[in-house]
Amino acid sequence: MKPAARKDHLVVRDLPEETLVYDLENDRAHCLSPVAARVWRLCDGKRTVREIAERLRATGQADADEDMIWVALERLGKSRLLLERPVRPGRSPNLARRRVMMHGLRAAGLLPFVISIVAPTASEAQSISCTQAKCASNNSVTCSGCLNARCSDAVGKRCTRAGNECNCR
Amino acid sequence: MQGIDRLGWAAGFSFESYGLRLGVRVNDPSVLPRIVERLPPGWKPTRSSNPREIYSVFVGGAARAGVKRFHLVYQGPTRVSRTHDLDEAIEALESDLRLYVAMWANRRVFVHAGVVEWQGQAIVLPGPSYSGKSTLVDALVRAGARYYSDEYAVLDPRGRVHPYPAPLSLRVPGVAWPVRQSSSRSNSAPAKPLPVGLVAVSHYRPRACWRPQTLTPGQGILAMLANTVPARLKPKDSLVAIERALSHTRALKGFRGEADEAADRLLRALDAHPRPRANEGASA
Repeated sequence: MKPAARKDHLVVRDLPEETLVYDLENDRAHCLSPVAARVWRLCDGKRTVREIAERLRATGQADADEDMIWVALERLGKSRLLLERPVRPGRSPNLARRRVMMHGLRAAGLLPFVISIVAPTASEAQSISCTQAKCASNNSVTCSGCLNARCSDAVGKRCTRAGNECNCR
Repeated sequence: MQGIDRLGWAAGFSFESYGLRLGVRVNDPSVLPRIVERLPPGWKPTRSSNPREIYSVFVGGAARAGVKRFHLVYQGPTRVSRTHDLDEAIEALESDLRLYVAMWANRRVFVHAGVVEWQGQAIVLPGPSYSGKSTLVDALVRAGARYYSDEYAVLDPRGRVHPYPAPLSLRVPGVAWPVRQSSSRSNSAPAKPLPVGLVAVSHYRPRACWRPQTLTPGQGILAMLANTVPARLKPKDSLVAIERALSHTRALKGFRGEADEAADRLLRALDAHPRPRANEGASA
């Protein structure tokens, strides 16, 4: 297994410790913890998991082992930041062992986490106040300007368009 | 668009807002004063004959006995509203104009957020509708902060926040629409762009006490990006502006109870940890 990081259609911003990645293909933004960012940078399609762990250890990450790299790769793969989603050969650590390992990584500040959000559409990020009546008042392209807005009198519902009809769903 | 052009337009004007030139035309000049009242904050009239977009407002009403024509609003060739209620049509025009400016403003990134000024720095409260932003902005203003916006934090490429001086709008129980507050709370439109001193992501929960967690710089940027209007249209510009706005700035996240208590704690938090001044930040 030689994981390779995606390079195309990404906007990458390096912060002093973390790395931000905006995926232009699916409009998701990711915040990579320092460890996850370092692993991602080392995924060049030539290094094996063991070599990535060795490289991390050689550059000061004394606790880096293959288990930690696999955790990072799983999260990077789930976030679609690798060309292929990694599959761990053999048996994965059982749940109890995995919990102990994660606890240890968290305590040492080495948890390779990736936090992701879906970037909002323009209208989702706007302050629009719409009611069910307003949403459904006419079936224009923008549903009376309410398209995608939350419906103030229907908790958890948004004004959406299905076919030619606007409604809070 | 040619079909709309043939509807017969009697008057129009063009204006600029945050560097964006737009035009409005109407078939009935008597409606123009009502439209001008609802233009985006900070608009200026221009003589541009080449606006980026034209909004067309067709005032309908009674045509002949038993026939009532719709009021229509178009953005370019796209219909924005079709209604028998003129107030609703103008409301739709206002909403669409604001969104258009927020999406396409030149060299500005609009983040859906409340903003106040405290001790020369901005407190930015990003969040979606119904998260209690305007209530918190109102409480901060009553506690002595200066009103900047309850709708958008307008960031420039250097990460400074510009005012968006629309009147403060508060939701009132039982009323679906936000109620605009009198000008006494929100009319002192400041002109100076500010550095961001504090970002607070809060959600209202009854009886909660404001004990926020501190976000990492990356998490703070994601919290802002999640409320950024042009996030998908201009992801790189958005990230750069937010990153600069949040450099040397704390970002907090948590549940808040009553707005007055949270406002007091936010002001104290900024007093305790102000953003380093530019020269201090450079030397740090």
